[in-house]
Amino acid sequence: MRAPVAFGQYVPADSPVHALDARTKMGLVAAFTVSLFLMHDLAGLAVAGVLVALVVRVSQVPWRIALRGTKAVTVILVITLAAHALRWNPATVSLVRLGPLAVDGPGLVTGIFFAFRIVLLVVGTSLLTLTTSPVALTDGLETLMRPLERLRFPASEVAMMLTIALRFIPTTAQEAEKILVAQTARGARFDESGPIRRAKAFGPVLVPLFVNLFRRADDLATAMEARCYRGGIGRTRLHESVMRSSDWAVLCLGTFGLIALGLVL
Amino acid sequence: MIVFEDVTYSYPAADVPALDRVSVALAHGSWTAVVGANGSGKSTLARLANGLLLPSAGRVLVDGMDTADEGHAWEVRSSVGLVLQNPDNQIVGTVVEEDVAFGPENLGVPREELRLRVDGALAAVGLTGLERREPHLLSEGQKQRLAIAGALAMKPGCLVLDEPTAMLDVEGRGEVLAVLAELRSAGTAIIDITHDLAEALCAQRVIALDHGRVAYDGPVPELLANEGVMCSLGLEPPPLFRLAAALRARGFAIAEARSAEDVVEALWPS
Repeated sequence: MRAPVAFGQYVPADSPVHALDARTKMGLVAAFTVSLFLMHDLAGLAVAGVLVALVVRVSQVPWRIALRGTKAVTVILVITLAAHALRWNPATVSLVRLGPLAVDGPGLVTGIFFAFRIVLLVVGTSLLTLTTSPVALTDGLETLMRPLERLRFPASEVAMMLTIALRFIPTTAQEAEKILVAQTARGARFDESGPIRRAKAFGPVLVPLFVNLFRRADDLATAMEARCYRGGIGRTRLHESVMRSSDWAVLCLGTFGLIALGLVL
Repeated sequence: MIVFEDVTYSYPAADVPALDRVSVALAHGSWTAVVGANGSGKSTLARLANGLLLPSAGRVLVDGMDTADEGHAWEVRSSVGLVLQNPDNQIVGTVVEEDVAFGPENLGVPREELRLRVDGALAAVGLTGLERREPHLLSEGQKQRLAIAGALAMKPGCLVLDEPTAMLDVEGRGEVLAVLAELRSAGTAIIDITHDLAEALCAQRVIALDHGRVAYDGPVPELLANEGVMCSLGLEPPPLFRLAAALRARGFAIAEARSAEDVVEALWPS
C-alpha cells in the first residue's frame, strides 16, 4: 500500500495564521495584491518581501513548500527578466556585453522589479491555500457568495458541489490506483516513453474510472435524497465558520496597513 | 410501521413490473429479512418504503402517512432511513461528524440539537472519538456504520438496509450486524435486504421475493426447512444449516442452528 493520497496544498499546523478565518485570509490576500500593484519601486517590494517572509515564519510552513509555487512561473520570470534587461546592439553604455547582446543597467532593475513582484504575488497568494484547509475554504466561499443568492445565484448548491468534490477526491484517487494495478496485472504498460503513448496508456484506467464515477453519482443522489436533501432551503449547519473579533481586527488593520503601504511606497 | 397495500411498481419502459401486487406490514421493533434473486424486486421494495419511488398502483403507508402525499415526503424519509450497499457512495461529508449531520441539517434542525443528534448517532454505532476523521481513512465496516449513523441522526423508526454487508469482510459484517441487533433492541425496526441466508437468520421474519411477488413470508427456520420453496427461489441454505440437518439425519438432537454456538452447545453441552 502506498501512503494515503495527499491532495491540495494544505500544510496542517497549529499557528496563528492557520487559526484565522478563511475569509480574513482571502481579504488580506486581496489587499496584498492591490498593494503590490500600487508599489512602484524595489524598496516597496522589499518591505512586502519582509512581510511575506514574516508570515511564512509565523505560519510554520516550510520555505521549500512556500516557494514551490514559483517553480510553475520560472519561464515567465526568465522571459520578464530577459525582455527588460537584454538589448541588441544598444548605443548606450551597458553592464555586460556579449557580441551584439548587452545587459542594460536600468532595464535589469526594472526586470528584477517585475520578476520580484510576480514571486511575491505567487508566494503571498499560495499562503492562503497552504494555511487553510479545503473545507474551511469552501465554507468561507459559501458565506462570501451568500449575498448573491438574492440574484438567484445558487451559492449553497455550489458550496455543496465543492464539498462533495473534495470528499470524493481521495476516494477516486484510491480507486484509480486500484484500477492501475488491475490493468498492470492484465499487461497494460504505463512506463512507455512519449507523452502521446503515455496518455493512450491511461485510457484503460480512465474509462472504468469514469464509468464507476457515474455509478457512484447515481448512488450518491439516492443517498442524498433519502437523507432529505432539497437544496439549500432551510438547511442548518453543524459548524458555521465565525468571524471572531480578532479576525475582524486582523482583517481591518491588515487591509488598511497594506493599502497604506502600497500608496506610500 | 410500514404497510404495503397491494403495491405494484413498474420502472419506466419496463414490460414486467418490478413489484407485483405486494402486501406486507412491517411492525416497529421487528427485524425482517428480505431475500430473493437479483431482479426479484428487493431494492425496489426498499426505495418504495421511504418514498424515493412511488407505487404505480396501490399505496405505501409509513406511520399512517401515504408516501405519495408530497406534504409528508420529508417526514416519511426521515422516519424510514435508507442505507445502501456501497458505503463509499453514500457518505457526503468530508469528515465523519459532518456526514452524520447531513440529514438533520437538511431538516433544518437547530445547531444545539444537531450536536446532540450527531453525538448520539455516533455513540449508537460505536464511532465515538472519530468525529474529525476523514471518511476515506475508515475501514469498510466503519464506513458502513457511519452510513447507518447518518440515517439514525434523522431519528427514524425504521431502518431499511439494501445489502449492507455485501461489500464487507467478515469483521466488518460482524460489526454492522452487532449494531443492527442493538438498534433493534432499542426499538428501531430493521429491514435487512440480503443475499446471505446466514444473515437472514438474525431476523424473526423473512420475506422472500420472486419476480416481484411475495413467495414466502414467515419465520426463517421454516423457510430454510422448506426445500420446495428454497429450490424454486434458487436459494441455498447456509452451510451451518446444512451441517445441522446432516447431523440430525444421523441422530444428533439439534434443535436450532442460528449460530455455530447453537450447534456446539447441542453437540457438547457445557
